[in-house]
Parts: sequence; C-alpha cells; structure tokens
Amino acid sequence: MMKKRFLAVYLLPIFSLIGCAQPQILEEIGLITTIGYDVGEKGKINGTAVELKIEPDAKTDVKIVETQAYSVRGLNTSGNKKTSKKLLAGQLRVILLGEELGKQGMLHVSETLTKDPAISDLSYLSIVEGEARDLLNLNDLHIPNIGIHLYRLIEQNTKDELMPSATLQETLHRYYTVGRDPFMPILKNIDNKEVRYTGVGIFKDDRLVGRISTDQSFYLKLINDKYKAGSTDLIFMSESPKLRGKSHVEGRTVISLDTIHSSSDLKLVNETNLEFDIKIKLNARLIDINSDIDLTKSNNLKLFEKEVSKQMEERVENLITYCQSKNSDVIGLGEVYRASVRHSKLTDEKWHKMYKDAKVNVNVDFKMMRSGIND
Amino acid sequence: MLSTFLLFFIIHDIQVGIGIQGFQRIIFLEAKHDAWISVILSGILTHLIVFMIIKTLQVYGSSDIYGIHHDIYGKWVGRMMNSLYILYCLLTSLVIMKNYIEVIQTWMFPQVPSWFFSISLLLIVVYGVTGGVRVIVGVCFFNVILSIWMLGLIGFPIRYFDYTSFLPILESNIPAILKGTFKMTFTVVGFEILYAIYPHLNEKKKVQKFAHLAIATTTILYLLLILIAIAYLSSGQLEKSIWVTLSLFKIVKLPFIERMEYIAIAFWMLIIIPNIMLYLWAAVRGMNRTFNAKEFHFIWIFSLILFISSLFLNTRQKINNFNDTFAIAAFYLTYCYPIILFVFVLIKKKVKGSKEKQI
Repeated sequence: MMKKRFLAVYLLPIFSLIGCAQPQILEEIGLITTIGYDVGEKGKINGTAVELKIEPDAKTDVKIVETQAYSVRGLNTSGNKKTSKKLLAGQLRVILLGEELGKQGMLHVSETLTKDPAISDLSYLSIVEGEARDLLNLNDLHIPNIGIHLYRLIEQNTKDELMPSATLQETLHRYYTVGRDPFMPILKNIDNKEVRYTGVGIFKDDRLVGRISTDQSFYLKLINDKYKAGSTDLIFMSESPKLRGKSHVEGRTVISLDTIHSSSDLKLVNETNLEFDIKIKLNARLIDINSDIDLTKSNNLKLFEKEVSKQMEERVENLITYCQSKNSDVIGLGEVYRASVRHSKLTDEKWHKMYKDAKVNVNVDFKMMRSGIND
Repeated sequence: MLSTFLLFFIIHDIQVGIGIQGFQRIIFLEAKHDAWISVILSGILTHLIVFMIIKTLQVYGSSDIYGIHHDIYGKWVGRMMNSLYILYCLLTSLVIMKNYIEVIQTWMFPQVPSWFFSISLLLIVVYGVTGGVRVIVGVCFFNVILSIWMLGLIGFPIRYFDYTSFLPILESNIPAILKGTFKMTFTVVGFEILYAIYPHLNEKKKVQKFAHLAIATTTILYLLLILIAIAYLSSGQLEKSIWVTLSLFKIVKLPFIERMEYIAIAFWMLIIIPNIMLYLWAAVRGMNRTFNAKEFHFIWIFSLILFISSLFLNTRQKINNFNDTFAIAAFYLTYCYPIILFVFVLIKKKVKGSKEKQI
C-alpha cells in the first residue's frame, strides 16, 4: 500500500508535466503551405513563403513572406522576424525552385528539407520558369490562395498522369540512384493571371540542364512508369493516304487517346557497345480521330495501329536523343545497366560519360482496345 | 509461474526494440543491396543460438543463468560472471532508453530536456518492475497486441517500389554479407532473456516451440522492413537516414491525420517500456540470486544509476559510439558466450555422470 502511494505521488506530477511540452495553438502559428526558393544577392537564397493565417477578421487568409538568407534554414529564422506568428512548415505542400537556382543545383535545398522531420516527403517539387517569387506573388481575384491553388493544380495533374510526379521523396530517390537523374514539372506565371504547367525540367545530377515539352513528358512517363488511365493527343503526318486527316490543310492526322494502359521493359542487350532495348506495350481507347478511315476493317485497323506505333517510337527516340544531348538520364538507363552488369561499380560520373553514346532501340506496340459507344 | 505461450510475446517484444527503427542503414553500409541476405542469415544464427540456450537450461531443469554460473564456475568466478551479466542487462536498458529519447527529441520535442524523459520512463519502469515478473509479462503481451496496427503503415511505401534496386543479387561478396549479419546483433539481441525468465515458465517442454516461433516472427518482420527500405529508398538516401523505419512512415498520410509517424513514435514507448522493464528485472533478479540483495532496493538503485549515466550520453555522436561498442560486447555475450556455456555445461554433466557411475 505504501509503495503504491509513494509511486503515485511521484508519477502524477510527472504525467501532468508532460502536457507542458511546447503547445502549438493554431491561432498563434503561421502555417507555411508553399515555399519558393530563388537565387538572391551575393550568394544568398531568396525565399518566398505563403503563410496561411488563421484570422477571422482578415480580408485574405494568406500572406506572402519574402526573406533572404544564406541557408535554407536561415530563411525560416529571418522570416520569423517579419511575422507576428511563428512560422512552421508542418503543412508544407509545394516547394518551388526558381529556374536560376535549379541551374545552380537543387540538392542542398531538398536535402535540408528532408532533414526536417516536420516536412512531409510527399511535398511536391517544381521548377518555376523565371522566378519563384513572381509566381507566388501572382495577383488574381480568382486565386485567393496561391498556395492551395498550386497544390491542387499539381495534385490534380499528377493524379491524371499528365504531369510526372516529383515529390521530395521521388526526386531524392532519383538523384541518389546511381544511373538516374531527377526531373520536375515546370510552372509558369502567365501574364500575372494564371499558372500553367509548361514542361518538364530535366536534370544532370542536381542541375537543371534542359526541358522537354508537356507532350514529350507523356513519353517520359510511358518509359518510366506504368500508365493506368492517362490520356493524350497525338498529332502526326502519315504517309498513308488512307489515314490522312481530311479537314486539315497540311494533312495532319489528330487522334485522341484515353484510358491508356501501358507497361515498359528496359533491357541491356550489349554491354561493351552500350545498347538498350526499350519495349513499350500500350493499350488505349480511341476517343477522337479526324480522318475518315474505317476502323471496323481489320486491315485498316492494323495499318492504323502500326502507324501510331511508328509515330510513338519516333517521339520516344527523339526524347532520348534530346536527353542524351543534355547528358541527363531521366529514364534510368544507368540503373538498368547497374542492375544487369555484375560488379560494374557504376558511379554517376562514370555513367554520364558512357550514357552519351549509348544506343537505344525503341519498340512500341500500340493496341486500340475500343472506340467509345459509336463506331 | 507463467504460461509458456507468453514467452512468444516476451521474446518478440524484447527483440523488436530500438534497433528496428534504424537497422537498415547499418546493414546496408556493409552488405549494400544484398543486406536482406544478412538479415536472413542473422535469423538462422539466432535460431541456432536459442536452441543451444534452451538445451543448456534444460540440463538444469529449473535454474537460471545465475544458478548455472554458480554451479559451473564455483562461488567466486560465478559471482564475477553474474556481475558481468547484470552489467550487461543494465547497459542494454541504458541503450534502449537513450536511443528512444534521442528519437523523441529529434522528431517530436527538440526543446524538452532528456533528463525529463529519462525520469518519466524510469518511473514507469520502476513501477512495473516492483510489480514483479507477471506484471512485466502482461505489459509485453498487451503491447505486442496493441502495436500490430503499425504493420499496416508498411503498406504505404510499397507504391513507390523500385525492384531493380535488388539486382544483381549477390553482388557484394560473402565477407560483406557476414559483416552485415554481425551488425544485426544490435537489432536482434533480447532472446538471451531466456536465461533469466526460464525458471518462471510452467511448461518447459513447450519453451523450444514458442521461443523459435517468436524469433521466426521477428526475422520475418525485419526481412520485410529491409526489403521495403531497399526498394523504397535509393542507396544514397539509405546511407543518410538514421531511422529508416521511421522515414518509411514519413509518407503515410491518412484523411484524418496528416503525419502518422508522430503517432508511431509516441506509440513506440509501449514497445520500449517492457524492454527496459525486462532487462532491469533480470539485473535486479541477478543481484538477488547472486548476493541475496533485496530486489526492491536495487530497483531504485539501478534506476538511479541508469538515470545518472543517461545524463552523460547527450550527443548523437556519443550515443552512436556507445551503440557500436555495445553491439560488439553484445555479440560476444549473446552469440559467442552461449556456445561456450553450452560446452561447459555438457562437460560438467559428463564428468558428473561418470563420477556417479564410479560410485
């Protein structure tokens, strides 16, 4: 009996003390939902944070806090000097990197961010054409909260598989994998009225070295991931008169594909004279075509499928050639090489030397599954 | 007396302690992407050792390591060995406590001083240990049951798997893999509690079964975690994160809670506490068996020692060095020593047997 009372006397105050560990009351903190990094003056980093305020009387519930500091963490400290509420990054959803900063290397930014346990690894990374601060300072009545707007924009497009997914975890994963380089979507502030997804930035190690268009990013995803339900438009010139688009002057054929299911297979076929085979299988629904071709005839269907496959092959090849010219291996051919060659002791440096001259054979196998409810 | 099936919970809980939060990196640094082979090997090795431990204990029927030492080495050397074992138990308690506090401080409450956590943890531990072995085992049982949900969190990283990370299999050489197995010690230790808990189990015949079942479960869990870690994180990331298992949880996001790992870390206390309790209990029990000391006093004395020594381990670097040294000591004590003891016990038995025959 004595023992128990003895313990209770000591334990009770301890347990009640545990409640005293840093309370974080919503009204007293400024939640950062989006943060943008740019190159500042004299080696500093310019940080622009979107702070979400919980203040019922305020007209807008976001505030843009802009500060400069020498380090990423320093931005937080100097940001606090400007705000009445303590800035916390626990709700950070989007991280923007200015184009110039991307060119100088993004590693230190993303590394510092993952070191912080409060920041989720699922935060989206994105490159901004121009400066990140301009994008965040976008002033439009229809976008009352730029932070949430950006987050929804990226999330929606990533889910629909129009945009390649580049979360903090995925980007660092790609960066730290030997024989693979990261990529990120590019956003742009257009006339201070809207934000648009304009392309995908490709990196060599952690430096932004080039960009591919949004259409090309479809092929990037086609090689990298499995598609489950993406969609795309394909515009092409066909040599076959049957397929030639009727209404267009130049004879371009436009097709629209939807519910795309794809899988890809990368293989190393020649170790010494670096050669890879990429096989892509693609099933999709045709929802639009501007040609008069009668696809109920099996001959025509075959021709159509072959033509589409050929066009896609060409585009994939173009994409790879472009990436090779920038020496950026976003496809991860190096990883395939590392996984197939025993004791290769591959390093990123070694791979970038080999990668340029690698030969890649592309093979696309397109199958039309159905074409809507009317023929 | 305890039901023997509870042994499953005791061993499983004490093995899954602090090491599980970050063992992947340590193994990966040695064996690279073949680290999972190291984990399997370590599991097999543990099975062998546990088999031997139980065989040793069975020779004596119903004694613990303290009695066995006394019988084999005689009074003085036996006492010395017992003290060594008690010291080991205390060190383990310290390692567990300090590492857990480190995790809480890094992830959740950087401002709260560590003495505060040690006092709170130790008071709960003391409370449990004064209740006796039945209370401790009860805590073990419920804690294993209550933490099963955490397995569900493992499912989230699977979406981001990259299977090529495993290829080519067996690229690193055998010594590297064995080194990885050696480094697993810190994570797998705990089964040696059998030495202390054995006399308290009621059906000695079933001990073998439940002990091996527990170890198999732990091995499968570790294997799963290392496979996920290798496939989810790339090599550079793995080499940098200190608590890989917790980092895996970093992407768990549920509609009602944004960041699940905070709950996981807080919940981890349920796993940690019975571990410290068991080791402290084993130490106190050793004092009682060897020196006839009063258990109640030594619970408090040992807690005080633990508290004071925990104050000196205050930086990541110190804790890391301490862990490494501890892991080596633990390897000799939990993997090599049982074999030696087993041999000694067998020889003793033979000598005794032949003497009896002569008479």
